[in-house]
Amino acid sequence: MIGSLWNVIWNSVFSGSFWYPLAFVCLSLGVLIPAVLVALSRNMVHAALWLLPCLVSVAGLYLMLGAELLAGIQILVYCGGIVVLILFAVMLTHGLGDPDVRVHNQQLLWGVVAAMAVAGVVLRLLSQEIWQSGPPVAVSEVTGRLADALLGPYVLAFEVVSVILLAALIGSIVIARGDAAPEPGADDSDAEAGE
Amino acid sequence: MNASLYNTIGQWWYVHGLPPWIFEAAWMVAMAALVTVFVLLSVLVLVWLERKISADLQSRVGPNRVGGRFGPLQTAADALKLLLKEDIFPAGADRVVFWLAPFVVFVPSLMVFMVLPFGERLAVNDLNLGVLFVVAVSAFPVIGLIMAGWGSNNKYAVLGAMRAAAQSLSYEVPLVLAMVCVVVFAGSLRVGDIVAAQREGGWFILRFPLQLAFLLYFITAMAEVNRVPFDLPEAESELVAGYHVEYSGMRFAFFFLAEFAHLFFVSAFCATLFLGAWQGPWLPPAVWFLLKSYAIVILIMWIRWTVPRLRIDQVMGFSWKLLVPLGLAAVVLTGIVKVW
Repeated sequence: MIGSLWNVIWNSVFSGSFWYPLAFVCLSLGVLIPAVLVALSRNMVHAALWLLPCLVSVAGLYLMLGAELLAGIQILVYCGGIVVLILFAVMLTHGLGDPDVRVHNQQLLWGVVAAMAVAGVVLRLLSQEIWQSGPPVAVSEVTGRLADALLGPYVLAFEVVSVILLAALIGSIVIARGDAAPEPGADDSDAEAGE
Repeated sequence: MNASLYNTIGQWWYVHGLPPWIFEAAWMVAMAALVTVFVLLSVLVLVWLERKISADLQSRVGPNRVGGRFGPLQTAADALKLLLKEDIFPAGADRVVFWLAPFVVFVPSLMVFMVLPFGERLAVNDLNLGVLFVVAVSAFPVIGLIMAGWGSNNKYAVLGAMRAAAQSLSYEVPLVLAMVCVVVFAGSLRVGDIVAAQREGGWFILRFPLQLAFLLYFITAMAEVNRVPFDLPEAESELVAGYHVEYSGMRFAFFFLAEFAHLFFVSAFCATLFLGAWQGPWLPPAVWFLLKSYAIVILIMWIRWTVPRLRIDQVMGFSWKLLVPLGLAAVVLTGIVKVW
């Protein structure tokens, strides 16, 4: 029994079919474990930094699915942009690095109810889907087709998204400006206060 | 040559019935080792070059003892010194973050070398989305800098890290816009295609709207590698040394290596995007590529040792108020010229 199992594993290692599932498992754990640690870290900077392996593993999953463009954008936008911005925001908050910061609150019951509800909906949807299995189909010129789709049938959605982003941008500038006249080098003094 | 070598060895491997993935893995390790050795040697040369150029520009002699009249082994001696130095962890440091930061900075600086074309088909891996790969991977070191600054538990380090992050994020926007101009003009994100497009119609720096993109790329690249006039993150007179002030020995050397590796990379990528990469008469392609790269490196060093440092608000304003609009205009202009 154990001998034949060993044979199956060894043959799959030898032929190379062993690595795809292994990579999937590793990347999935790379998404899930850091995601849990993001929620459980008491140190807020650590929580923000745990996002990094999580998001990189998601990019790895994209790569496994043959979506190189999406993986690149994921790294560029999420790891290079969003995590840095979150770190910035965290460094401007109070109680940074305080080991007594509470990560739990009194809403345990409602939290569990909400989590169960979301899990139920997700599982329901996942079980209804008919899943294709097998290795990813190589599609040539993915980038070009994506560009054509974005500027062709989906151009309206694309433009709506950009207008929303523009509104968010203007709104944040208005909030950041406040009532007082803006002082030069405001970023620096903020950084000092946060530290 | 690279691709043909790969095919030759690969075929031998298949003929002998060995599992292909071992060959693939061994090939990757070998290429990674090759890139690492190349980067380490380049950094040795670059540091020596930096010292010689700064000495020349300041009417000094520079290194002139170790290894002969021009001190070529000075950097090797320094590397040896850094290797032997004590590895200090500050008492209040966030140990894991402090320990990880140099790697988060160093590894992406090596990874981007993968797409550099040293000749026709002579890149480690000419990725389909090469330019996007470069942009994405280059975004990583910023997090390493923040980790270094935060992990050191030192106010100068945190300030340096905040500045580095703010500056790097701001200058990434015009840098990407400059690259978009080139991509639009060449019609491909693959580095090999961009070089091929320059072979047919002349170097991109000589084609009409791309001079603007070149200028943008050059300025933002200087900011991305934190060189004067944009060296605010490590402004010695204000911040001691910025984010790496608490680092010593080999950990400090990692930051140093990453910085010079990045300097060489932005110069080499500039040569790739605008100066026709490896193309040139008489000399072998790799020699042309290195010559062009080093020309840009020397230009950046020349500027570094000539101009004074800006203030942080000037640096940020310059990017958002001037370079970003210019970059957008350059993209529109390139699009118009390309279609027309």
